[in-house]
Amino acid sequence: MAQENTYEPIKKVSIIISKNSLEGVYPGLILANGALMEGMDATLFLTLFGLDLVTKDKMDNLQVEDVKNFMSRMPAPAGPMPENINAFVTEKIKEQFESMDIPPVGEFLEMIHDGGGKIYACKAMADMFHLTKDDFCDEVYDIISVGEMYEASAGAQIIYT
Amino acid sequence: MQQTFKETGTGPSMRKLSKASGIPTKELYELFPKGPAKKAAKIAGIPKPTGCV
Repeated sequence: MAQENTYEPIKKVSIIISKNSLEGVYPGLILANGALMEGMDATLFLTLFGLDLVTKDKMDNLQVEDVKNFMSRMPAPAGPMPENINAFVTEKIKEQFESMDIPPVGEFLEMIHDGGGKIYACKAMADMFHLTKDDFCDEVYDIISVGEMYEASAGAQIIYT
Repeated sequence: MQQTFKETGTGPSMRKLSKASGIPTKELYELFPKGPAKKAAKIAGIPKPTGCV
Protein backbone atom coordinates (compact mmCIF):
# COMPACT_ATOMS: atom_id res chain seq x y z
CA MET A 1 0.00 0.00 0.00
CA ALA A 2 3.05 2.25 -0.16
CA GLN A 3 2.25 3.35 -3.68
CA GLU A 4 -0.66 5.69 -4.05
CA ASN A 5 -3.69 4.05 -5.59
CA THR A 6 -5.19 6.41 -8.11
CA TYR A 7 -8.03 4.13 -9.24
CA GLU A 8 -11.65 4.89 -8.44
CA PRO A 9 -12.62 2.90 -5.31
CA ILE A 10 -15.23 0.15 -5.69
CA LYS A 11 -18.51 1.42 -4.25
CA LYS A 12 -20.76 -1.57 -4.60
CA VAL A 13 -20.56 -5.32 -5.18
CA SER A 14 -23.18 -7.79 -6.28
CA ILE A 15 -22.19 -11.29 -5.24
CA ILE A 16 -23.82 -14.32 -6.83
CA ILE A 17 -23.56 -17.68 -5.05
CA SER A 18 -24.49 -20.73 -7.11
CA LYS A 19 -23.07 -23.55 -5.00
CA ASN A 20 -24.15 -25.23 -1.78
CA SER A 21 -20.95 -26.76 -0.44
CA LEU A 22 -19.27 -25.16 2.56
CA GLU A 23 -16.31 -24.11 0.41
CA GLY A 24 -18.76 -22.96 -2.25
CA VAL A 25 -20.71 -20.51 -0.08
CA TYR A 26 -18.15 -19.02 2.31
CA PRO A 27 -16.17 -17.00 -0.23
CA GLY A 28 -19.36 -15.21 -1.30
CA LEU A 29 -20.38 -14.59 2.30
CA ILE A 30 -16.97 -13.21 3.19
CA LEU A 31 -16.91 -11.03 0.06
CA ALA A 32 -20.37 -9.58 0.76
CA ASN A 33 -19.76 -8.97 4.46
CA GLY A 34 -16.25 -7.69 3.76
CA ALA A 35 -17.67 -5.12 1.36
CA LEU A 36 -20.08 -3.86 4.02
CA MET A 37 -17.26 -3.67 6.56
CA GLU A 38 -15.35 -1.50 4.09
CA GLY A 39 -18.30 0.84 3.84
CA MET A 40 -19.37 -0.39 0.42
CA ASP A 41 -22.85 -1.49 -0.62
CA ALA A 42 -23.43 -5.18 -1.19
CA THR A 43 -26.16 -7.38 -2.57
CA LEU A 44 -26.20 -11.14 -2.43
CA PHE A 45 -28.03 -13.17 -5.07
CA LEU A 46 -28.56 -16.89 -4.46
CA THR A 47 -29.18 -19.05 -7.47
CA LEU A 48 -29.08 -22.75 -8.39
CA PHE A 49 -27.80 -24.79 -5.42
CA GLY A 50 -26.79 -21.57 -3.69
CA LEU A 51 -30.45 -21.37 -2.67
CA ASP A 52 -29.67 -24.03 -0.04
CA LEU A 53 -27.79 -21.33 1.82
CA VAL A 54 -31.06 -19.54 2.60
CA THR A 55 -33.39 -22.55 2.66
CA LYS A 56 -34.39 -23.02 6.28
CA ASP A 57 -34.16 -26.82 6.42
CA LYS A 58 -30.85 -26.96 4.53
CA MET A 59 -28.78 -23.95 5.58
CA ASP A 60 -27.39 -25.43 8.81
CA ASN A 61 -26.41 -28.71 7.19
CA LEU A 62 -24.11 -27.58 4.38
CA GLN A 63 -21.14 -29.88 3.99
CA VAL A 64 -17.63 -29.82 2.62
CA GLU A 65 -17.61 -31.23 -0.91
CA ASP A 66 -13.96 -31.43 -1.90
CA VAL A 67 -12.87 -33.60 1.02
CA LYS A 68 -9.65 -34.74 -0.65
CA ASN A 69 -8.47 -31.20 -1.12
CA PHE A 70 -9.09 -30.33 2.53
CA MET A 71 -7.61 -33.57 3.87
CA SER A 72 -4.35 -32.92 2.06
CA ARG A 73 -3.97 -29.69 4.05
CA MET A 74 -4.92 -30.96 7.49
CA PRO A 75 -3.09 -33.17 9.99
CA ALA A 76 -4.23 -36.77 9.44
CA PRO A 77 -6.70 -38.01 12.07
CA ALA A 78 -5.46 -40.76 14.37
CA GLY A 79 -6.89 -44.23 13.74
CA PRO A 80 -9.01 -45.44 10.86
CA MET A 81 -10.82 -43.00 8.59
CA PRO A 82 -14.24 -42.13 9.97
CA GLU A 83 -17.07 -43.69 8.02
CA ASN A 84 -18.76 -40.46 7.04
CA ILE A 85 -15.72 -38.56 5.93
CA ASN A 86 -17.64 -35.55 4.60
CA ALA A 87 -19.34 -35.02 7.94
CA PHE A 88 -16.03 -35.42 9.74
CA VAL A 89 -14.19 -32.87 7.61
CA THR A 90 -17.18 -30.52 7.76
CA GLU A 91 -17.09 -30.67 11.55
CA LYS A 92 -13.35 -29.93 11.58
CA ILE A 93 -13.73 -26.99 9.21
CA LYS A 94 -16.57 -25.57 11.27
CA GLU A 95 -14.41 -25.81 14.41
CA GLN A 96 -11.61 -24.07 12.55
CA PHE A 97 -13.98 -21.33 11.37
CA GLU A 98 -15.23 -20.71 14.90
CA SER A 99 -11.68 -20.40 16.21
CA MET A 100 -11.03 -17.82 13.48
CA ASP A 101 -14.18 -15.93 14.42
CA ILE A 102 -15.88 -16.85 11.15
CA PRO A 103 -19.56 -17.34 11.99
CA PRO A 104 -21.88 -20.19 10.96
CA VAL A 105 -23.91 -19.44 7.81
CA GLY A 106 -27.08 -18.35 9.63
CA GLU A 107 -25.24 -15.79 11.72
CA PHE A 108 -23.25 -14.70 8.67
CA LEU A 109 -26.44 -14.00 6.71
CA GLU A 110 -27.76 -12.06 9.70
CA MET A 111 -24.58 -9.96 9.79
CA ILE A 112 -24.89 -9.18 6.08
CA HIS A 113 -28.60 -8.40 6.44
CA ASP A 114 -28.08 -6.21 9.51
CA GLY A 115 -25.17 -4.48 7.82
CA GLY A 116 -27.53 -3.27 5.13
CA GLY A 117 -26.81 -5.93 2.51
CA LYS A 118 -29.83 -7.03 0.50
CA ILE A 119 -30.20 -10.78 0.05
CA TYR A 120 -32.14 -12.04 -2.98
CA ALA A 121 -33.19 -15.49 -4.14
CA CYS A 122 -33.35 -16.39 -7.82
CA LYS A 123 -36.91 -16.75 -9.10
CA ALA A 124 -36.21 -19.24 -11.88
CA MET A 125 -34.38 -21.64 -9.58
CA ALA A 126 -36.85 -21.16 -6.71
CA ASP A 127 -39.60 -22.12 -9.17
CA MET A 128 -37.62 -25.08 -10.42
CA PHE A 129 -37.04 -26.42 -6.89
CA HIS A 130 -40.62 -25.51 -5.84
CA LEU A 131 -39.44 -23.13 -3.15
CA THR A 132 -41.40 -20.12 -1.91
CA LYS A 133 -40.61 -17.26 0.47
CA ASP A 134 -41.79 -19.45 3.37
CA ASP A 135 -38.99 -21.93 2.67
CA PHE A 136 -36.37 -19.21 2.98
CA CYS A 137 -34.91 -17.62 6.10
CA ASP A 138 -36.11 -14.16 7.18
CA GLU A 139 -32.98 -12.45 5.87
CA VAL A 140 -34.11 -13.04 2.28
CA TYR A 141 -35.46 -9.72 1.08
CA ASP A 142 -37.15 -10.89 -2.10
CA ILE A 143 -37.31 -13.51 -4.83
CA ILE A 144 -36.34 -11.81 -8.08
CA SER A 145 -35.75 -12.51 -11.76
CA VAL A 146 -32.42 -12.13 -13.50
CA GLY A 147 -33.57 -8.78 -14.90
CA GLU A 148 -34.38 -7.50 -11.43
CA MET A 149 -31.02 -8.82 -10.21
CA TYR A 150 -29.28 -6.63 -12.79
CA GLU A 151 -31.44 -3.70 -11.70
CA ALA A 152 -30.50 -4.27 -8.06
CA SER A 153 -26.87 -4.52 -9.16
CA ALA A 154 -26.84 -1.08 -10.79
CA GLY A 155 -23.44 0.51 -10.26
CA ALA A 156 -22.02 -2.68 -8.79
CA GLN A 157 -19.21 -5.03 -9.69
CA ILE A 158 -20.87 -8.41 -10.23
CA ILE A 159 -18.98 -11.39 -8.85
CA TYR A 160 -20.12 -14.92 -9.65
CA THR A 161 -19.13 -17.72 -7.31
CA MET B 1 -10.99 -1.22 21.04
CA GLN B 2 -7.65 -0.16 22.52
CA GLN B 3 -7.66 -3.11 24.89
CA THR B 4 -8.07 -5.58 22.00
CA PHE B 5 -5.37 -3.80 20.05
CA LYS B 6 -2.98 -4.04 22.99
CA GLU B 7 -3.71 -7.73 23.45
CA THR B 8 -3.81 -8.91 19.85
CA GLY B 9 -2.02 -6.26 17.82
CA THR B 10 -5.11 -5.48 15.79
CA GLY B 11 -8.49 -3.92 16.46
CA PRO B 12 -11.63 -6.08 16.67
CA SER B 13 -13.37 -6.73 13.35
CA MET B 14 -17.14 -6.74 12.98
CA ARG B 15 -18.14 -9.97 14.71
CA LYS B 16 -15.80 -9.49 17.64
CA LEU B 17 -16.80 -5.86 18.00
CA SER B 18 -20.47 -6.76 18.20
CA LYS B 19 -19.88 -9.67 20.59
CA ALA B 20 -17.52 -7.80 22.91
CA SER B 21 -19.63 -4.65 23.08
CA GLY B 22 -22.98 -6.43 23.21
CA ILE B 23 -24.25 -4.02 20.57
CA PRO B 24 -26.09 -5.73 17.69
CA THR B 25 -24.52 -5.47 14.22
CA LYS B 26 -27.47 -3.43 13.00
CA GLU B 27 -26.99 -0.75 15.65
CA LEU B 28 -23.25 -0.62 15.01
CA TYR B 29 -23.94 0.14 11.35
CA GLU B 30 -26.41 2.83 12.46
CA LEU B 31 -23.92 4.35 14.89
CA PHE B 32 -20.97 4.16 12.51
CA PRO B 33 -22.35 4.06 8.95
CA LYS B 34 -20.08 2.81 6.17
CA GLY B 35 -17.89 0.38 8.04
CA PRO B 36 -18.31 0.34 11.84
CA ALA B 37 -15.15 -1.62 12.68
CA LYS B 38 -13.04 0.70 10.53
CA LYS B 39 -14.62 3.86 11.91
CA ALA B 40 -14.53 2.72 15.52
CA ALA B 41 -10.83 1.91 15.08
CA LYS B 42 -10.21 5.38 13.71
CA ILE B 43 -11.94 6.99 16.69
CA ALA B 44 -10.01 4.75 19.08
CA GLY B 45 -6.81 5.86 17.37
CA ILE B 46 -5.72 2.39 16.29
CA PRO B 47 -5.07 0.96 12.79
CA LYS B 48 -7.91 -0.50 10.77
CA PRO B 49 -8.68 -4.10 11.83
CA THR B 50 -6.98 -6.82 9.83
CA GLY B 51 -9.66 -9.49 10.37
CA CYS B 52 -11.86 -10.61 7.50
CA VAL B 53 -15.17 -10.90 9.32
